Amino acid sequence: MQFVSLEFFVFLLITIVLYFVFPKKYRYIWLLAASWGFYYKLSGKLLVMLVLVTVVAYAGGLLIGNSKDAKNGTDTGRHGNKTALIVAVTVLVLILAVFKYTGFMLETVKCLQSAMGIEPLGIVAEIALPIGISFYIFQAIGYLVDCYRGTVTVEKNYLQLALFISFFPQVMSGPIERAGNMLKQFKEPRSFSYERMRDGLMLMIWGYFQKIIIADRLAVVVDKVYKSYESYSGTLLFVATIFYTFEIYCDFAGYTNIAIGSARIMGIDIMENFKQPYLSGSIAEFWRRWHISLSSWLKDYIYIPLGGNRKGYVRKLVNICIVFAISGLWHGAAWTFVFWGLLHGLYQVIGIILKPVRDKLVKILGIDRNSFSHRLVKIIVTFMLVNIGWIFFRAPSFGSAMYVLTGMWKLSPWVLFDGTLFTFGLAEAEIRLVIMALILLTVVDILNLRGISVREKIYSQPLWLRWAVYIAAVLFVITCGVWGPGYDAASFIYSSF
Amino acid sequence: MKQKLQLMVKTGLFIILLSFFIVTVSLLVERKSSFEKNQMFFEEAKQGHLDVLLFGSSHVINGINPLQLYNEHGFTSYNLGGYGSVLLSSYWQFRLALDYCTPKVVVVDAYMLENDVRYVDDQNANVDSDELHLNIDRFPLSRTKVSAINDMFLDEKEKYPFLWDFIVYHNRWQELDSSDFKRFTPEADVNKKMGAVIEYGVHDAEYTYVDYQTGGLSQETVGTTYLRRIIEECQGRNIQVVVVTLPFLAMEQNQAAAHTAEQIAEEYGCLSVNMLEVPGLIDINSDMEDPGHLNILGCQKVTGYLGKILQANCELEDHRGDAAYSNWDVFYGDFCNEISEMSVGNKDIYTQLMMLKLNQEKETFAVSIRGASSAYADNTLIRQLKALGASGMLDSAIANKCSYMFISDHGNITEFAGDGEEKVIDTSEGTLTYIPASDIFRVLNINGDSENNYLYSDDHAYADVQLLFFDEGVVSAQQIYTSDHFVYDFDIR
Repeated sequence: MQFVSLEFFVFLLITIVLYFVFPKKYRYIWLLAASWGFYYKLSGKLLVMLVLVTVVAYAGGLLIGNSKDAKNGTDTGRHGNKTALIVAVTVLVLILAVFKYTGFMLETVKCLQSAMGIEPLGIVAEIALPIGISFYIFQAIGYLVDCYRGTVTVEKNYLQLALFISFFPQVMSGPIERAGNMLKQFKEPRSFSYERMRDGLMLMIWGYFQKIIIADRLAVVVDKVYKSYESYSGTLLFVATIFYTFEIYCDFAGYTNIAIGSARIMGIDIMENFKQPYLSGSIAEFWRRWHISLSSWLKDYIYIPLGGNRKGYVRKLVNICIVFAISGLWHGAAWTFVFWGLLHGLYQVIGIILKPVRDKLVKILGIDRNSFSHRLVKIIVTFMLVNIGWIFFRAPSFGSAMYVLTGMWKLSPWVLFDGTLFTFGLAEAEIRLVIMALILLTVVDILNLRGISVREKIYSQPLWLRWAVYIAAVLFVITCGVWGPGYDAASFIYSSF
Repeated sequence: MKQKLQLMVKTGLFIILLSFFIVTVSLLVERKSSFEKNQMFFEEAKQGHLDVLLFGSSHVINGINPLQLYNEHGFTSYNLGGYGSVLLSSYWQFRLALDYCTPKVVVVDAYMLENDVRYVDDQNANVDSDELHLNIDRFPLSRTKVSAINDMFLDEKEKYPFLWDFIVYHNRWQELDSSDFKRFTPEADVNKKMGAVIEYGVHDAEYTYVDYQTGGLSQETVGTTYLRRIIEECQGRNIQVVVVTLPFLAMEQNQAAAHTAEQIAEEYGCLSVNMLEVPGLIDINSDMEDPGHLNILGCQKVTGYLGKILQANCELEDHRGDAAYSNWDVFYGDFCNEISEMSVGNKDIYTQLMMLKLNQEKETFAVSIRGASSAYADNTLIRQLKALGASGMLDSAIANKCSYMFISDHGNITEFAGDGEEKVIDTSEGTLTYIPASDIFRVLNINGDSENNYLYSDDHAYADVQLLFFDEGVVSAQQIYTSDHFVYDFDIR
């Protein structure tokens, strides 16, 4: 059961209705049952793994909270049971490593053996990857560290903790939430609110717009080009990389909006995950706007414990690289992902190293940092750097990534006008639609960046206009969206991480 | 409390409004073929105008013409045959139709009775989902339709698009045209042949029908089960059933199925007609579009035959002359006009000759083949000329590769083969003068107008076949076909 399916709508409707029917103090039990049911429909028996993670987190939390300081309630900064924390986190990391990285490690060993002239191991890893494992394990680890740090109270109610880790809107692809934000909402559920329902539904529609109007159409072109990349060159490759840059954004942001929207209908607020990332003026800013829940998780639970920027200039740069390499590895068990992560780390390191030079240049050239043109150049440069990074993220191998990266600069702009673009599986009308949709997406992002909420603007209109907009939006998405027979409902990119 | 009530009313209104627009959009983007084929059924059924319902596969769609039945016998019928329909889907088509009317007679074709695949989504069923959509999309969602889908499909996911076809058609937004919008207006395109689709082609193979002298099927099948259900349902509702097998190039299994259909009909005391075994009913080579489907010639013969049987065995009212049924007269007139328009100007020579056969009694025309023409090696063409009445003279022309002239004056045939002296032929449309001087140079004029030779021009000196139509002393149309390996280039003069 994926978000883009009739089953999900039926499931969501029943879940929400019953959620508000049940007495407040029992609602979390219903939500947990629904979440586990949802996960079972997604992953079948691998639900056991999710339950195991919740048990480890629960037991770990209790053990961490059993330390003397924790019992006394004295606030000494770090007052949990460190051994319990290390054991629980190790168990969770091991689970992640076994399920996600066994194959990767084996392949790496085989490559090394081949390089050294040794006969490679004959073992093949055939381990099914539970959907969302990277997300819910990180969420569980975050909870344990927060318990250790004393920033959250150890949860004594197993079912509530299990719900925090398994909550169905986010179990598949995040956002990676914090216990401090979610547990209190499960303990004290809000009453039904018409405004929240409306806002949640609008967010969901926007999410579906991003996913099935834009992302799934761009995917048709991108998949075709990357599948036989050697058949293409120049501007076509360039267009494919741009399309992928938007595809991954719309795919992941679309998912997130559907997740946040469906939770909001139930009165549960999930943290924002995207804030107009492609309007960032630097890579550092990009990471403050892209996959915010992961970036902040990495910062809180890896970068800061590594020393952050407190242990000197060089150590700061090294820490950045470590964090981004981990981020890459978290995304996928392949060296291309690690390289993608490291590339982003490197972008930042170079940015930091060159900062004095950049500042001097700006001064010499008399550039106004607040000018529109300067901001625009920064946005374009950042966008292109991110775009290059995505090539390694999308390409099946280093070789193919390098082919695309080196081949995409050869100018052949006529392919944009001579109908070539219409030969990639999308009809002319669909290409036009997707371009219009991308323009709309950009406009909405710019408005949001300027603090103008389109949703709020719509809510402030007269009833007839609001309803016209709602109805038009629903009709547009369900008519022009890519869904129905032949649609791969399991195609959210981040659900495979 | 008041606020809550207001909110509920508002939400309810919004949901109604949204649902209305979703239904409207789904009707707009829906593929219109099902609407076009079945819309007249709903209109006629609503007025209680349908005496006979016809069920079966595409054999029925192409083989039985309700307008001809009406014109010849005065009773009304609707062709609800479905493309690719097996008895299982015909049963449910029948059940869906019964929700809207109760006919006096149901005619069901037993083709595919041997089919023993339980579900239409089974790969072995070989049922095209597009065809099934065409058959049932127009029927609104109802309890019967849900039962039909549940019974026909095994895979739950396969069912959804049949319960709400928007699932498959929403992507048609990019191909909408005027006919999609006309769906909501009285000008909508609909099948005015009461569900029949007439084929105007003829196959180019030479078939021989073999009677395998087979018995019936060796066991009960899904097909026999559903044929029995149709009969039982009809008998339960006092509807007379006629089990038929329309003619086609039946193999041994098909012939066994037709025998079993007769046995089942007999078991229930129903009338049955196995047209596979009616001697001389159709010519398998000239009356079929392909080995399975009748063309206009075959359809006319089969409909005529079936009409007589229904007339003789069923108590059916003659509605001709009844003002309430005047639209049937209009539609029949339209159909006649269609045939009339089709009788000349066909680029496809085989279709043209078939239409000449259909209209032979009404037209005066000549077919001329030049000497040494490669058309003499075209078996389909020769077969069609013989069906028109060509005799041994044609065989002589073929043997000597000389020129040939065939004149049909409202069915009266005159032929010439080879070079020779001037011939004068009196026809009801004028006096023709024909001089076959050589293989290529031949002269034909009408009513002594020697200035105009209709058989020779420098531009078309090597035309293989020429067709001339005569009307009130003039050549009303001339069609020229030049063969290139039996692919004919078409021109008019």
